[in-house]
Amino acid sequence: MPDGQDELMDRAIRDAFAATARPSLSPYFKRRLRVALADEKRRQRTAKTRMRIMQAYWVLSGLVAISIMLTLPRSGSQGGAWLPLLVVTAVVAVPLMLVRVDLVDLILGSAEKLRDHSGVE
Amino acid sequence: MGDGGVLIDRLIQVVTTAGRGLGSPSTLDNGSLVRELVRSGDDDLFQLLVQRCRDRVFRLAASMLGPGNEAEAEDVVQEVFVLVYRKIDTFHHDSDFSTWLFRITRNRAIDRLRTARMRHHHVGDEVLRSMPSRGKIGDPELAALAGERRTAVLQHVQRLPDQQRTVVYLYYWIGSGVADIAELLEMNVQTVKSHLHRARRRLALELEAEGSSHA
Repeated sequence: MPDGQDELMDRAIRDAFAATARPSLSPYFKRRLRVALADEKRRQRTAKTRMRIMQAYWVLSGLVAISIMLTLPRSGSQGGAWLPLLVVTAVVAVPLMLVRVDLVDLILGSAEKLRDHSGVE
Repeated sequence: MGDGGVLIDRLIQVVTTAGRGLGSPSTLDNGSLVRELVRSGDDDLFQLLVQRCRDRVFRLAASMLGPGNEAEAEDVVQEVFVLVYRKIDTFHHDSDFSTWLFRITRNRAIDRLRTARMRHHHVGDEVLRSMPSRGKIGDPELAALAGERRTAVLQHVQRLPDQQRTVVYLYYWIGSGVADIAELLEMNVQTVKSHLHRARRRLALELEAEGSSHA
């Protein structure tokens, strides 16, 4: 394209945009962001509390499972055979059911983090 | 005595600087500010970071979403800062903080474009037509002609490829300089200039083909 034409086009675009108001953040932005950040802090606090409760649950249920195992006769007790199985199932299954949402969040969050760091667009 | 005086001055300077520690947060560069923020978790530092970066993040988001979508762009800025707040401790200092921030902004803006399916219709014709024309043209016919020409240019800008369109919006609409655009879009200055040149050439050809005189 000749320089003259390039300049004309440059002027035409400038004219077209000259009347279009430049965008700027609204005066409410600060307040909206403050509210959003407060929500985020609350969410983080809840997640932290939930994590602590889960950790405590794991520790407690582990101790209970071990103590039950120790009190049971090692062999020959047909009646008590189902109990360790039940305890182990409860110890593994209940927390998994409780944290399944966190697991999904973790997977999604990792994918998002990977994308933000790799710069894939 | 001269050398001794200089030495004492230097010593005083070193002691004073050490006594000040990191200095005032407002004097820190973004990288140091982020380090301090991760270390202390001080909300005031985060506010300072927002204050420093929000306008550029907004300009980038607005340029990607186009005129008429300023409210969407503001939503993107809010999402970006919430995300930064959430993930600030995952930021690796091997790259510049601004680079990381602008990359997140671009990804969020692209997500927003996809979600809203705005890619093919950024702004309706009625929005473009309703934009006020510059100055007052006495002759109504001339005013109408100028308005049509303006609308035609803006419509063709919308149809440019993504990168070219964003560069054109940043340069002509938002008024950013070439170096600033290069930083926002992680390009070098020559690439920005090349995008601008190609966009102008394409617009000229399309307007010519349409029979719209822009001269």
